[in-house]
Amino acid sequence: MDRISKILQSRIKRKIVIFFYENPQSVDSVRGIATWTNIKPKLAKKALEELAKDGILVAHRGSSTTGYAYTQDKNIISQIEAKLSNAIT
Amino acid sequence: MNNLEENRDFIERISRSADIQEEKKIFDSFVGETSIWWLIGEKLDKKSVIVITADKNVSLCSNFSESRLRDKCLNCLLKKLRNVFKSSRPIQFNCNLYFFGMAFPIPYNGQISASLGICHLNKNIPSLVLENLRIAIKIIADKIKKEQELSKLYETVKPRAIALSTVHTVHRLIGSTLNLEELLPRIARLSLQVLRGKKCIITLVDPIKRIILPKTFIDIDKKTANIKKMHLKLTLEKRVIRTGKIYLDSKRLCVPLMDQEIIGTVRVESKQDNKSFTNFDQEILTVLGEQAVIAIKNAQLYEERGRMLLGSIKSLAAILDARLPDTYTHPIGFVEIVLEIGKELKLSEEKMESLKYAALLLDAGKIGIPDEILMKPTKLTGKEYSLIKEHPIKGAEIVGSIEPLKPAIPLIMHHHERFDGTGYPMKLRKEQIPLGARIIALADAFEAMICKRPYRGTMKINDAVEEIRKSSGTQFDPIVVKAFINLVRGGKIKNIICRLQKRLV
Repeated sequence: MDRISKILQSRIKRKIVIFFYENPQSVDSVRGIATWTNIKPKLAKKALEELAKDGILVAHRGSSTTGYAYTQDKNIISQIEAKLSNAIT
Repeated sequence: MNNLEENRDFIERISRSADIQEEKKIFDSFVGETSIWWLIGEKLDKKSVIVITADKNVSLCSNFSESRLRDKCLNCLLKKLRNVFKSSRPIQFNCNLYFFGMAFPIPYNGQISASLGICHLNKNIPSLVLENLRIAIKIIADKIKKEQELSKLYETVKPRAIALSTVHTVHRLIGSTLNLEELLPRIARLSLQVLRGKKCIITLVDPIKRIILPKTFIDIDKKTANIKKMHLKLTLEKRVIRTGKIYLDSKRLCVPLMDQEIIGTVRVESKQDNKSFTNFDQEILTVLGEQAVIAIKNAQLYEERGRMLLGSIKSLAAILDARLPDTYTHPIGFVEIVLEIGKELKLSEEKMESLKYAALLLDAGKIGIPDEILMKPTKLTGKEYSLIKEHPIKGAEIVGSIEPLKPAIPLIMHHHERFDGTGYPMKLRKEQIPLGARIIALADAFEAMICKRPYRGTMKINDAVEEIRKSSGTQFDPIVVKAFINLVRGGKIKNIICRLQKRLV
């Protein structure tokens, strides 16, 4: 199984990735993403950090908050698109 | 969603509704039969009919799976339901299979846009039950319509709420730094992120020279870009600054950064999905630009304040120096050594700033000590040494009245403490001594060893480093000693030492 498929096996990570796939312009905090995806903030934070480490998200770190956003890596975006487009439609 | 789609969504919601399933169960238990419930939308064809069952395991009717029979039932029902659409009233009927049935209109948006059919009953249903059922179905339909409206509202509001949340997060991110060198690339990265662009360039206008300076350039396809080596024409920026108007075409979007006057521009180029920039992108970048202006102005003011403060400190140091050179202040190389150690220990920006101020005004407290003691070439008496030991406290008092220098006070106060607790003025030990003071203590001792003093000559650099290494854990913090030795080994402070010696030896 490829790396992206493995990541998307996690229900929480999948929900977060779907959110960014549908809203690629979004830059949001843990609390914001937890609200949009209906995930507990503590679980969202852990998943967001792991997704950032995996390169699926970008973490913009400030002193008072971290803004998470969708990757700008074309390869990762197309891989995710291939996995999700069928599943969502 | 158009009317037809809305209507279809309404019917699907009714078919999935737990209330209608519950209503069917109640009805079946009341009549003692297993009825078949059908829902049909205004298109009135077989494809748009939805069969509702209370329990999927219960067969709709014994032979219903036979497609011919299903087809027959559908044809029969469609005829009945058409009548409901015409009359807008519930009707009862007998079907070709000698079953009883009924059909209810379901109002939606002031029209009868759906109909519920119930059939395969062995007897006619009393009119009172029929009326109760009609009311129940109307209540369910109203509830579903409200749910649909709420859902529609949510779908409309959600993208705006997500966009608003993005604007809020971006605002917090760019407002959380006062360092212009950090701020501008952050604004560029966030602009690219929000607009899904490939390139971003930020320029600032030099208010004195009245020229446009490219400050940040980010190309997501290239890892690094040295803006100083780039030959950017900035034609677009010149135009935006001259006219004060936003520039938008399919590939480029450039907005002016407007304060009371234009202070610069943000340009984003080429969408990642190769689509064109839109008016929505323009609105977003304009909002981002407005936030950026505030953050840039704050950072510029903060830098200006820093420059003014440093200027005042240098003036104060110069005044002290004029009285007795190299007694109240340390040479500039000393400050560099202190800052290099601080950097090696990865101190925060704020701590580095305090360290710099403390290093510049370290011995300001010596102003109260008579010159003959400070310049005495022989050993000091006990009383004289007591006076010398007061200078950290006096120094802290002198800078204490200057508000921005307050973080530097503990560093000035404790720079003669020793790691083993035998220093002065308060005999603090280990981590009780602020880290900045531990750094200064080492740099101060090192400088004293390699520079000439009234009471002794200079020491070779290697010997001085060895002396410091030997005093690790007693006079000096081992962590600071390690950082210092790393710097010496790496040759980072070799040049500083050479400059120090040239000037002082």
